[in-house]
Amino acid sequence: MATPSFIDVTHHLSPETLARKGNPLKGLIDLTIDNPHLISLAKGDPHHTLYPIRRIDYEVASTASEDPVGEWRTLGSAAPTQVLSTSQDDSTQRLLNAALQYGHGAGIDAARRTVSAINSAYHTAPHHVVTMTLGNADAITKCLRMLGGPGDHFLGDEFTFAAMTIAAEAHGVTWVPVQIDAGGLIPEELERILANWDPARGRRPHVLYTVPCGQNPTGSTLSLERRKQIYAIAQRYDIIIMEDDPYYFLQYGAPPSAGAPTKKTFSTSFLSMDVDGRVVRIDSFSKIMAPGMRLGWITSSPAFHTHLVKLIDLSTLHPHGFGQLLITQLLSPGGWGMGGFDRWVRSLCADYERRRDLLVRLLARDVVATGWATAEVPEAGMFVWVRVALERHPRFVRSTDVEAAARQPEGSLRAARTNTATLMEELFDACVRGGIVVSPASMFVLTTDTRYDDLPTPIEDRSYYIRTTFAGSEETMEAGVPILGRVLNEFFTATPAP
Amino acid sequence: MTFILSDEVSQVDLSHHLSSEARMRRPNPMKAIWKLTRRKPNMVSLANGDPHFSLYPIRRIEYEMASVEEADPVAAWRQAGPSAASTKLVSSTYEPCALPLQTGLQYSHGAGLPDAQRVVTELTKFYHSPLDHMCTLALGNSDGIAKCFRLLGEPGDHFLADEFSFSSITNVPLSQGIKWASVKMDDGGIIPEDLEKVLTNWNPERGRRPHVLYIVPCGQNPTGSTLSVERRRQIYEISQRFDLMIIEDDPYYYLQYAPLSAPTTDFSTPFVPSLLSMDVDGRVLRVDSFSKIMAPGMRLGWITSSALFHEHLVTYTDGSTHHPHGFGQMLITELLSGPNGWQIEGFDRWVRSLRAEYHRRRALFLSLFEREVASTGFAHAAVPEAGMFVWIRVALEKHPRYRADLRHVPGANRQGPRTNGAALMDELFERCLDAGLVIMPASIFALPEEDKFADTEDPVQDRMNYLRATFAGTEEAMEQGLAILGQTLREFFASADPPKQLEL
Repeated sequence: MATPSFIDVTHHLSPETLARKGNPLKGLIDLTIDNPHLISLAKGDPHHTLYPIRRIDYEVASTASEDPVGEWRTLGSAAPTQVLSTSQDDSTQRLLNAALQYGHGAGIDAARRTVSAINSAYHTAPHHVVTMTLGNADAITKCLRMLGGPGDHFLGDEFTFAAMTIAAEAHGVTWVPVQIDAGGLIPEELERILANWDPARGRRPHVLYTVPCGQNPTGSTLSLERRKQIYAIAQRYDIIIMEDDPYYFLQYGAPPSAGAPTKKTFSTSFLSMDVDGRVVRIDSFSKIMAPGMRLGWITSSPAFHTHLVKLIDLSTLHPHGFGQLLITQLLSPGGWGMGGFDRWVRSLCADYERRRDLLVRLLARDVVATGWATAEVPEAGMFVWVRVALERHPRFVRSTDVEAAARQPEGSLRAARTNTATLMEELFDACVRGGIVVSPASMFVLTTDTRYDDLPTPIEDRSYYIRTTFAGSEETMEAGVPILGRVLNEFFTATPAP
Repeated sequence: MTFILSDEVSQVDLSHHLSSEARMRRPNPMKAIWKLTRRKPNMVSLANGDPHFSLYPIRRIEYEMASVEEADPVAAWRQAGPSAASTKLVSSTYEPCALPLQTGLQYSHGAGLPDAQRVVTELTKFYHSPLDHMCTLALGNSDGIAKCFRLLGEPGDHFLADEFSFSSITNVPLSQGIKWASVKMDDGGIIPEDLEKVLTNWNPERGRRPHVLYIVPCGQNPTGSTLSVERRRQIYEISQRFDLMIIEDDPYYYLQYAPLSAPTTDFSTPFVPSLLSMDVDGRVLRVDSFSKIMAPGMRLGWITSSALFHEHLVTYTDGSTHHPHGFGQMLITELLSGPNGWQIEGFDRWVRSLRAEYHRRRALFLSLFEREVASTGFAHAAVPEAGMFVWIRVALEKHPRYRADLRHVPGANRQGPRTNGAALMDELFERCLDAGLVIMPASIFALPEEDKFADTEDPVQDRMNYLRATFAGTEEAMEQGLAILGQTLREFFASADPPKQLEL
């Protein structure tokens, strides 16, 4: 295979990464693995005859039918299953022991081959390599450590999954929000920020963190055209793209109102267009199998892989054998195979699409019908981003520039001009009193440095959204949405608070 | 100094030990929301994007495990092989079990699922009776310790450790800007007087006086030493006086052996009290793991600490690895509290039986060593009181090319090593490799310390004449490996001329 022209990534690595020396013991361990003829008195690994585990059986759904998820849900305990067994007593012994012993930081070969096969089935990335992880949070925070140090500025969607962005702030990274609309990150905004970067702020941002399908929290999905534009900008300004894609398989295509029957095709990932080796893609089994699996993988250039493995070897070590064993067995011909996996994720997607449609119908009936809110139909993911028409609230206030500026700390260019934040807090409290919990937009705001014009308008003035999910049960949605509708009605029409 | 055991944890405020990173870390905003979902009995949540458990494609997991009904379960397990008695632990969506699958495979709290946290808490109480501590699940020792380093270490900090330490751990914090200050050891482990000396004589030019001690008290890696109760008390008392946090890394806790002369380590032989069990101030962070006593691939362990550090560990876990995998949590919950599980009593039989097994291996190793290596007169093995390793001293001073006059060579570094021991050991290591043996040289374990503050009276480079060998492997590996070592030593000590391919 021809060597691709992947970029040199050294200048993207954090000072900590550059300072990280390899684990010296590892060199010797690798020596023993690569030279099995050598007698080793080196490693203090318990012998596998002392593992008290003889066999691990996973009873899993069958994917023989065309709609395995539908069948699994509707048949319940009568649904067909198969048992994936790994044991000391048969030919699976090698796999079991490989999974139960200390191994290579990137994960056991069998698991890496499995996720590489998933990559090959859905993406085009023949020169990228995979590193096993403990799920999205683990993968993202490791990438953030690999790339970001004190003084760095990273780019992110203005509403984003804050739990992750907070993690980077703890090690000195400042975030720069990029405005998004119903179609996700706006490429022109991204370019504007980079082209006008004030060097006094520090090094120009070199990392973009984005969730391209079913963005959390807005539910937007980046079109192919936008992805190409964003990739071109990344090339022009030498940006690393962290593609966090947990909802990749939950893509519903055009909304039902579009007329033509939707064809479930998965969009082209940033990974698939990554000629430069500047995309670090993060996948996880959490949303498509179970969150407690704590297993996923990172796909990246070999250069990033090397640094990730060094970090892994000096922190968590490789992931647990149980999960690696499960996915290996599951996707092998004796399990679901790649065909069964595909049927599972497609039927899962169809199941979420039905849930989405239910939530959208309920919202239309009970919430949008009040006239106080609207909602876009998401093309992917698990969330509906409900827009509250706060500007029509009797106590909504929009102040003049002078008034707003007077209220802000010195040096702020971009003052909030409305009382959106206050009203949304009231609304959230009213929801809780009414018996429903939703996720208010404020939870997802990427902290802005108000001294700069990263956003064309203050985000506090646009935080009039609530994130709702259709990942729960139908009963939950049927119970919750009417409450939301009632609360909204009361909120907008009740007499003013004292 | 007397040791006072109190029924109440003293009110020592240790929050000043937290790193800036730990202090700066904001909690996950979703947590506040989650708490609200429990406020009223009928709260409906449209908040969290958690896949419904009816969509998990797994219905049941069965772990077939060793039975611990036998008096000596490890021996029975090994000897009977496929026909050994076993027990089946089940986590399922539809059968009675301690931790049903639909709960086990959800997202959960950073500390771990309540049931799993409960069982490790009970296990910790059983062995250590900590005063007022909490357990946080982790992904094994390496993960637990790495998290503690992030919690406590500021760039420029110096942490204290044995001068020969497990470098897979001591390398972890270097890239964070944390440096090490080494403390001397002898056959009994870290020397408390030297610990005190390092702290008392701390040169402020080096930075803040060390506030963290990293220690492996049982079967120290690599030297195999175990700290006596008396030394532990002295170390704890010094830690109180100099306000140190102690990271107690104890993967070999259960592998504490009777003397070599004893035919076995009786089940009734007690375990040495841990530093955790003496922790009246809440300054011990104890890290436990299932790796050595069950299987390394489990990637599961826990950290026991005061409530303050537990909270910070949970916040950090939520912003990094998240809680451990459901598979491991379900396994240990079923194992320690489930209908077919071992329960704590069975776990105790397993670990005591495992201890006896390693006692046997230790005896085998040392008798082979006597026959193949000690007989050459060129090496001597210390008898480890715990763990999986033997620390072998090579009598380099008997080597024809050994020199102790390096500082007097014209142009030599007067502060540098006095001997050429380090280079000779490199040669020995290469010879072993050429002869087909991989064995760990001491140099791999020497704690990295800044040259300008290194001990010039007694440089560690002059004390590198050790090898670490394990008795955890197969008997064949021990027999063949030690035979090669003996032979290689003979050849090495007979070589008056340096080998052509190596430069000394």
